[in-house]
Amino acid sequence: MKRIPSALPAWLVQRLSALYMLLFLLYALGRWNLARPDGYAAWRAWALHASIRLPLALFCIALLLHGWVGLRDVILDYIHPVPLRLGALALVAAYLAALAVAVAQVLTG
Amino acid sequence: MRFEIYRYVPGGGARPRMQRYDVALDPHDRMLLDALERIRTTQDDTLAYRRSCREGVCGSDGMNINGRNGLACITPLQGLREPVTLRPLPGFPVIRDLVVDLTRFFEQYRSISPYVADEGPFPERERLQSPEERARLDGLYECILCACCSGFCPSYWWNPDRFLGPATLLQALRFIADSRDRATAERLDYLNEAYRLFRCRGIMNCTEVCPKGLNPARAIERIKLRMVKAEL
Amino acid sequence: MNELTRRRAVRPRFLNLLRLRYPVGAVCSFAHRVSGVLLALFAPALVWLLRRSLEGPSGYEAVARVMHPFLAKAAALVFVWALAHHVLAGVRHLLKDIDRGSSLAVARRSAWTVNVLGVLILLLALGALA
Repeated sequence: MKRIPSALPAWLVQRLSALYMLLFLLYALGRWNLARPDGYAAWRAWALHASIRLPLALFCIALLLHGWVGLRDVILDYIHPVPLRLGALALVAAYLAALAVAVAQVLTG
Repeated sequence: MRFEIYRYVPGGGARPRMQRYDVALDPHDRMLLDALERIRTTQDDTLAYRRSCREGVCGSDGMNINGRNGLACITPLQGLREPVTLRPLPGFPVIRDLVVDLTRFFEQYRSISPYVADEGPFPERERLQSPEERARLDGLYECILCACCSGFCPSYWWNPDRFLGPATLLQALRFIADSRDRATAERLDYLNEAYRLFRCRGIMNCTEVCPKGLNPARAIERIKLRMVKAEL
Repeated sequence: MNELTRRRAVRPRFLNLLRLRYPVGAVCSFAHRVSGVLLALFAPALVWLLRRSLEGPSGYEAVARVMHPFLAKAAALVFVWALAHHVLAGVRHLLKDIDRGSSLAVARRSAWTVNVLGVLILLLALGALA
């Protein structure tokens, strides 16, 4: 089958990212219930601990991909004039890119 | 019984309007189509709708009945809330009153090559199917192309010329699933595009209104699974 | 343009969304879309909260304080509903993808369940925040 990124791959990315985020949320919730960090030091230790940092980074990547596929679907459904549609897609791309930069700063900082 | 019916007669800058009918029904009038016939013969012979077999086989009299799509001929009058509000299938261009233009709908149907494709070599005798292979067509071959499902699908409302819609996609699976068909790869290729198949959001409005009790939403999910398997 | 193409061009379409009666699955699906867009709009605020809270004790305190005012609480409630509904409806979709709960009867029940659970979780959050 020919590879068309906007067809089957987009759908698979949406599904797989959803699955990963679901598992991460369950994991984070469980870990939160074990520790229940109180105060700044405990919270920082909890949020930046090795056992959550990488999963959290992956979660953010999954979230950005999932957001792109989902918002793109919304635009393809409702916005039909081509210039407007391209503008909306560019806006969403810029929004997600800015978000990615901000997340990267937090996770590496 | 009281009816509110969408009227549109083309020409002269006419606009669609709703018209009220109060009809005295005959005890033999049991289905919605009977009432429409009663209106047409006793009150207003300008009212236009399609009909043919009057028993849910030809798929001609699909319309929006009190906000849901269905076939007038197999919708019992009993239990319908009054005034019974009839409108044409949502989203389709209206030719006149309850008659919609299905040209694009049937072009889309044609685009999925709705026939068993086999370039040969041909067998000496007919192509046999095992009972299991035949059973895979159940729930697919029964579709009568009445367009009730596609006319109730939001994805089809937004992208009627690029998304194929539930009816055509169910028909696509009917040939993908056929053991005698040799064109599965080409069929999946045709559907693997951003719009044709992948505008489906699994809302399931199609399944809700199918007068034959079929499940186009599940058919679409199965096509996606076939694609994933073909990729692996 | 001949008569037929001219007529085709002006044909009306009936698509008044307020005149249709929607099945429970359509409500669930529409809410899935709305909650998804809401979550996307919430994302910058969440990143900001995470960033401030990890900056230092003062930032952490600021975040704790920000969570107090009425508006922030209301926003948090909207977020909780959006997240709950989006995740639950998403799980429903994932299961349907692998042909679990794809029949109409089960899909109707799961749509009801998702819609009700989303609101229930919202009420729980309301109780916790009040």
